[in-house]
Amino acid sequence: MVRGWGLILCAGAAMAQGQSGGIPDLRMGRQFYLGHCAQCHGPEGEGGRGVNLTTGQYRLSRTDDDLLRVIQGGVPGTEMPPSRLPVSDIRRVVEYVRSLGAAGAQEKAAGDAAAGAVVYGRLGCSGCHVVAGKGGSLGPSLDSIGLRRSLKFLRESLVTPEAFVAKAYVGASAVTRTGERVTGVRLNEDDYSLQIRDAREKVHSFSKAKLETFRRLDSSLMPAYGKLPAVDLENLIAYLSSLRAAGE
Amino acid sequence: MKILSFLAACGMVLQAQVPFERLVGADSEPQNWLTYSGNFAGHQHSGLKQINPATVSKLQPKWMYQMRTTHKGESTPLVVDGVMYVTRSPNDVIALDAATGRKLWEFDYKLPAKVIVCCGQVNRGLAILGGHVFMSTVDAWVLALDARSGRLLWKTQMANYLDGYGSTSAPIVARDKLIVGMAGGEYGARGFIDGYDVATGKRAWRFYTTAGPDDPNAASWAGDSWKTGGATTWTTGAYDPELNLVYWGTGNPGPDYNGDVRKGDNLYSDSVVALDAATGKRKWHFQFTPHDMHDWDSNQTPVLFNAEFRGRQRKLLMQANRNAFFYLLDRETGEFLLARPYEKQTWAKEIDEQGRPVRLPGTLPTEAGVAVWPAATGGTNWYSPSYSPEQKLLYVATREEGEVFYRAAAPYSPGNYFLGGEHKPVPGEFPTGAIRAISPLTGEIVWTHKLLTPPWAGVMATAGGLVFGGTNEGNFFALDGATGKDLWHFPTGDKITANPISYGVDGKQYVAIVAGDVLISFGLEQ
Repeated sequence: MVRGWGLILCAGAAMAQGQSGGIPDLRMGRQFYLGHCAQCHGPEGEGGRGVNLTTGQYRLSRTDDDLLRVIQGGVPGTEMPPSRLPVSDIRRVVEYVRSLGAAGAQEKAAGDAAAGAVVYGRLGCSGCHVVAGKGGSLGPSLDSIGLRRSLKFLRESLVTPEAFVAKAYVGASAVTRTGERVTGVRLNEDDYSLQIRDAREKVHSFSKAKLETFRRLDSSLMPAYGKLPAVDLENLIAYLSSLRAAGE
Repeated sequence: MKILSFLAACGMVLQAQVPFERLVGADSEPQNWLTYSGNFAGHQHSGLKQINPATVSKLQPKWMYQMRTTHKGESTPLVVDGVMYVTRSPNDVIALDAATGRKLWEFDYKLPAKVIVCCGQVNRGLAILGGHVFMSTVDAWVLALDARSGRLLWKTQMANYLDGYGSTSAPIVARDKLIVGMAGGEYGARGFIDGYDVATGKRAWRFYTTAGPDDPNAASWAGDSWKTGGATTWTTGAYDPELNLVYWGTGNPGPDYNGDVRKGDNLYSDSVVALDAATGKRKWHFQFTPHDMHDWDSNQTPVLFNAEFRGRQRKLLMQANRNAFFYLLDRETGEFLLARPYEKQTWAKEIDEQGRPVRLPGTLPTEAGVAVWPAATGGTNWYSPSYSPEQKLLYVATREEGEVFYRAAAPYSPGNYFLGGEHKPVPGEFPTGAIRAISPLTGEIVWTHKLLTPPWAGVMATAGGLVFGGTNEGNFFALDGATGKDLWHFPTGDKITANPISYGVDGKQYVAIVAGDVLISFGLEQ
């Protein structure tokens, strides 16, 4: 934890230097950021389809050169594509992303994380999500969710979960010719077959030719928690924000 | 006589010579696949009929050849009298017994440590003439090998690879000239098409595809922008031996997404050029997308055919262009005859009577980004279409996908990206693909077979009435050429990014495709 804060403070210092010596670069960096990155990482770096950039801690990038490489090459296996911007422009984006890190240092959840952990247990979240090795695999692991997602994003995910569904957790529904309906996570699909993991974590493989209907779901498989008492919601957000395991 | 008897007794394959006349008459020996496209006309079609809608359910793998390379497999093999020649990316050549997949020889080519290519160190195929097998390389050389042994016969440098030049496509032979294209359009290379003497490798001519000061269309480039203007020639063209004209598609102008530094139409980018094969002189050109800013290269192999059009028998050329329009041209004159969209497009109101697109406002790249269909990868891409003379249909693997196009600064430095922007997926879009059958004389879509994702594999029609293709998910499939009905598929286990071919040995028909880095040959269950 101490080391994490140290990094954020360092990022803040770097920003201060950038501001004194290179305001035009930072402004240009913001322009590029808004055009090329904000769509996924949010206009203020708060995250969305892409990770929260305001924490100042990036799992794949310790140095500016690391960040540059990630932006240039993308992150294979994720939705982060490579960028073909000239290196000089990517450096401006790196500088701007570093400046976002300082803002994140001030973000603190209003609720009580310990009480939120109780809400998490009561709602049965672990039926679908893993924390510290315990839980189901229908939804994404939450071990480092506090590092990767802003408070705003966490709230949105709980209240309107369909606002963003990661590609690996898109739902699918299939109805067989005998009327059996199976809904779950779409594990794989080609032109001829569809593989679904249902809520009980059973894997089904269907030949599309033998299905009555099948479709990709626009909504999330996760229930919406907008009607949760406000205090529980705030506490749950605080708990999720406290999950910051490194090295995932 | 005694020697021949000995060879026959040992079951040895006599490696035949391939004179030019055999290449011209390729359609009359359907058991072979003598050029990149199966014939000079770019048909990508097999005259074999053993595998057909009635028998295709018995199609099964007969052999596999593991390439053992980490590079993408995009090669189209050649087959000559029972011997298959195939490239292993980046630039190795392998000769196989086409009936068993057993290796006969291998030529390994060592590339420099750092080569500069936008889209993978790949090779897409070979050419053959006499006893020579020809290949161009990622580091911009042209090679001739002895077809019997793989021994290097000659080697000629095309350009300096350190400046972003390379070559990934199969050459074609036009009489005594080897016609070779090049790549490097994302690096400010200046495009060209070369003609080499097949016997010696000496360059006979070069046609530059960006019009310099000595070209009548020099005014189509602002200032010196022609020097770094791209218009590269990275996919194999077609050839009409009667007219002795080579038809070759050209790539996007550079920088790709920012046209400010290259005002004008930027000839001969995004065009097809008709060149005299003996001299390299341009007979005509047709530009599909003037002053392109969406990376819509026009390198798709042109397809040549003859038909009556508007009451007159004509020599025709067609292309399903990356800009999502199908075009029909007169290949003697370059006259524009018709255009019609074959995939989703949001950038042009229409193609006017001269063949020039009427652009819709708000579709050019900006700093904030503009969503446009088709994507930079186009309504189709480098992989081959196929023409069936039996069905009189053009089959195209198409991509329904948009992208957000961004404009940025475009500083040039040799060997580095020269793009002036970039492109990203449209949020929330799940791109799809299709195999479409297009009526060549009207551009109408006759049937569509939808695919889950936008394909990267070519198609091949057969006289047996089938159309073969491949998917990103690894399925190699056969459709009914008349209706598009899905008749057969085989899961290969890796993404298919190559063209299928068909050939025959000892009276048996085979269909072959590279899937991932494995070459698979299919035949009927006996």
